[in-house]
Amino acid sequence: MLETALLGIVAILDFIAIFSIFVFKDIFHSGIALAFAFLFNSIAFVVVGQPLLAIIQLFILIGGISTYLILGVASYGLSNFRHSNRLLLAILSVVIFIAMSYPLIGTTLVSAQQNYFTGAAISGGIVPYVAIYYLAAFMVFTTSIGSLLLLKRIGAKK
Amino acid sequence: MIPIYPILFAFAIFSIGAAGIATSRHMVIMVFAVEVVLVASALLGTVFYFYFVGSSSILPFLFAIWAIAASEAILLVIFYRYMVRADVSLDVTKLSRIKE
Repeated sequence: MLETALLGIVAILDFIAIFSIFVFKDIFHSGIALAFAFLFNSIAFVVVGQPLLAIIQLFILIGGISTYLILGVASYGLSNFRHSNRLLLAILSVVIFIAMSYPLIGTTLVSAQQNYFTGAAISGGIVPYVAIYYLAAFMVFTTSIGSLLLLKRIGAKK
Repeated sequence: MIPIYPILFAFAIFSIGAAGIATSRHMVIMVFAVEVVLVASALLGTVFYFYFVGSSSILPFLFAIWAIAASEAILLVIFYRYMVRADVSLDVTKLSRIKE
């Protein structure tokens, strides 16, 4: 019961932070709101019982991605135009949420459904399949190298 | 705890992110919305694995999701710097001006 209440509080704070991304006009404040959304999402990881993943996500998303976005994008220049249709955002998000959660409501997530989501292929072991580690590392590495080359070309054109 | 609440929470975050992509005109805000969607996917995958599988085999998927998010942030900075230098509007409805 306590965990459910904690999750509700974290969810409300996370929703406020996420909606703030679309409410703020300048992207600097939107970037800060995104960092707070990452923070509350990491707290949600703690609430569902995964503190280690929460710490890892906190380090990667806030320590890495948010800092990079705020320094690289948000502080570089400000743009002040109304970028989001807030009413349409609210309506569309509710519609998508209902469409996604409708098949879930009414079920009890018992073992029958457990088999549906955790077939033998999944529980058989993804950890031995280490290629995904290499794929993730290779993607970040190549993107970083490619970004350096692109930045160099952009700088040379000026 | 009943696991349906975290699942619905992840669904809600995903919905807001997907709706944000559809309703925003700002390129950077759209990428921020994609980041929100990726975070929701990480939370949903974690809840499914630890409640229904009970193992830590979700870690490769989480690393993949975080790697995609990091790559997207890097590419966003590149596109942003290019658009600012080329004096292109960040309004995606006006991006056809790039061809001119």
